[in-house]
Amino acid sequence: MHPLEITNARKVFNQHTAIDKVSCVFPEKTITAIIGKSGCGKSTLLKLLNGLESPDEGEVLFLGQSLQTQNINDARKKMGYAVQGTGLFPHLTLKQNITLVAELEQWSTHDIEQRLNFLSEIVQLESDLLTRYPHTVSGGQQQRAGLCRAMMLKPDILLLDEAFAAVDPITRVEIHHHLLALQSLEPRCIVMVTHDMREAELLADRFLIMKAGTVTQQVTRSDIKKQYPESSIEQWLLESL
Amino acid sequence: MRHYVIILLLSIFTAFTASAANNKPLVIGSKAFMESHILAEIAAQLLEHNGIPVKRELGLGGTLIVYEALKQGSIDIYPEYTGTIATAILKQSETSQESIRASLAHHKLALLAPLGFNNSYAIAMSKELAQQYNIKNISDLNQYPQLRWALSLEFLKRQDGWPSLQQHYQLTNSVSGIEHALAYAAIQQNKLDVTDAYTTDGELEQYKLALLHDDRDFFPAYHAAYLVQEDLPMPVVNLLDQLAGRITDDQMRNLNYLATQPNHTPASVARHFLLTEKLIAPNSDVGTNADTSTFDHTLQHLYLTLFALVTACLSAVPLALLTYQNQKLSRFVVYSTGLLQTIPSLALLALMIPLFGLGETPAIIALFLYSLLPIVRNTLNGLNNIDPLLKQVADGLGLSPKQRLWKIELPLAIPSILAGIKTAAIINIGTATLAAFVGAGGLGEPIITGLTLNDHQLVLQGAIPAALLALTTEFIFEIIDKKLLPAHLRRK
Repeated sequence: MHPLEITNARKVFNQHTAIDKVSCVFPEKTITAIIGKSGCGKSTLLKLLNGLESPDEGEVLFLGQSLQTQNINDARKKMGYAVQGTGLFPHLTLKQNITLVAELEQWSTHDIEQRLNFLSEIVQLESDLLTRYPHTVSGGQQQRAGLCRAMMLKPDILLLDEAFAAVDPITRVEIHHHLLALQSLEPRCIVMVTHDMREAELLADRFLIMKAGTVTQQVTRSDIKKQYPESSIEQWLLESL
Repeated sequence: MRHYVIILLLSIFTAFTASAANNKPLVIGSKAFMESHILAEIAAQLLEHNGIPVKRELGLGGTLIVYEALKQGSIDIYPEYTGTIATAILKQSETSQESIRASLAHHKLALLAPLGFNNSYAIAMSKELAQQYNIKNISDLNQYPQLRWALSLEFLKRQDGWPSLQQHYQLTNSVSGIEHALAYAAIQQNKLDVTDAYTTDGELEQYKLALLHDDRDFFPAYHAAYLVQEDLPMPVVNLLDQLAGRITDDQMRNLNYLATQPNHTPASVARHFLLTEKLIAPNSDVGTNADTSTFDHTLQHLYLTLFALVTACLSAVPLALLTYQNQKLSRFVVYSTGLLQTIPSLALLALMIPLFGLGETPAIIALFLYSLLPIVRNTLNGLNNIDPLLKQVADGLGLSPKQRLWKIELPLAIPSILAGIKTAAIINIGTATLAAFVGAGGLGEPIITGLTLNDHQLVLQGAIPAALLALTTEFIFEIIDKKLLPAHLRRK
């Protein structure tokens, strides 16, 4: 059983079919990158996966069960979620942002501190930054806090919606390393939407290529290596779009 | 939730009206001008002298409010004029006392015997000039078209004013307009010869003006008489009837004049009149109204403002929270609270007297209604202007709608909500001065009494604390802002 599956999903907005008959699986301990041009439906697909949108046809299976039949808020707490531009709440400090859901889940202070220390160490957020408000720290630091917030509840899956798109290339590389470090310590199913082919090449194990609302290819890194030993992954991805 | 708010408000209102209902003393009202004050004081002191407890509700805001208060039962007695009763209250053309009494009976009201004088419009000129030309009647003016006329703007425009007067007396002179307050002085300085006046105006004497006789009966009669509840106890009626026919035009003019003099008040003038007429004994200690201190007025003012503000917050914020996700509904709420804002405050107060009588209740309800719009609108704005991405993230993190509201949306909307409450508070402090028009006290009382009695010091006793209160409110909200909000979320 895969933690996340979508079968025969279709989503129409105002007579425009954003997602058409999409079926795919997202395996455990694997980073899957969803790649496609703007408007191909990749963000909509991600919103279907965490129930921010619900499919007109077909269904999303989360932990083997249809997402529609689950308590959506409970389900989402098992899915980490981070977006472009961080989406940190401006009235909360970095620490309050990161620990908000754990507090709402009534974790003990000890557990919260332990988890916070673990995460902030991996992404290298110094403790004096944690007491500051989002607008007083750099974009890269905000992004790292956003990642910590998404990971706070030890979710079964992690959804990243162009989460690193707004930071400069150097900072982005640092965050990529933080993400990989996290993945090696706590391997999980990660689904990321990205424009950045280099990012996809660096991070992902699997690739979903989307065009006009459909998934045209699902391939693994080793599939590409086997079939096209001459080309780099980045190059292959660019050509297949 | 909405039901609780309604129940809460209703129970507050009923508690108020219940407490207002068990008043035992006779309540004597007056309008906010000198003569009305004096006549009300005369009745009050006469009754007090004869052992009948009375309560004064003086300086109420105009004919509509004081009449509604009488009809509703908040007051029992107030001085009124036959002309006003016929034209402004009953809206009938028949001005005879019989006809007025018959119409009043339908409302369970009665008109006591007229006091004697007639406070009507009149035409005035300097005594000296009148003697020189031997002018006694208005019709005499026909022969002197060279006299310079200036009439008060209202009289100039009223259909029953200059246009009719000119026709009635076939006057051929030209007229200009003048502010009434300046006309008498202009005559004294010989810049003007003829103007309009009130027959019992206290300043006529001071400026040595003669009133011309209305020899062709143009002006309607404005005979003063007490307008009372029909079921007023007989002993009270008998006492007040002692005043029937006792006050002549000259006497009323003198009393009005006396009350403007230093060290005199309507109460002292009323006492002086009753003593002269031997209606009370010199040793009686009636007519001493306990003075309310500025501090008490300020406290009263604060109470009215705060009560209205707190109930408005308790209603407006939940109302906005309940409706903000439904655009149509929230728009409806903003429009209807906005509509309330457009009702003139005196009209709103008058509208509520039949329901709640005089006193704090109509004042608090009016202030409450006026507070709703700024709070509702700012709360809705605060909630609707939150970055949609933050709402999406809150959902994506698995916050329930309730958690999203309490943890994310409400805190982010707080600066806007606070700004709305502050606006409502400042508006309230200003508007609450009108509470004095319905006998609710507060800082409006010295202001309105001061304006009536032309006592600038008294006006300042209300106006200065009111201004300080507004400044303090501004300051307090600044502190709340600082305590409650991180610097970057504060409104500049």
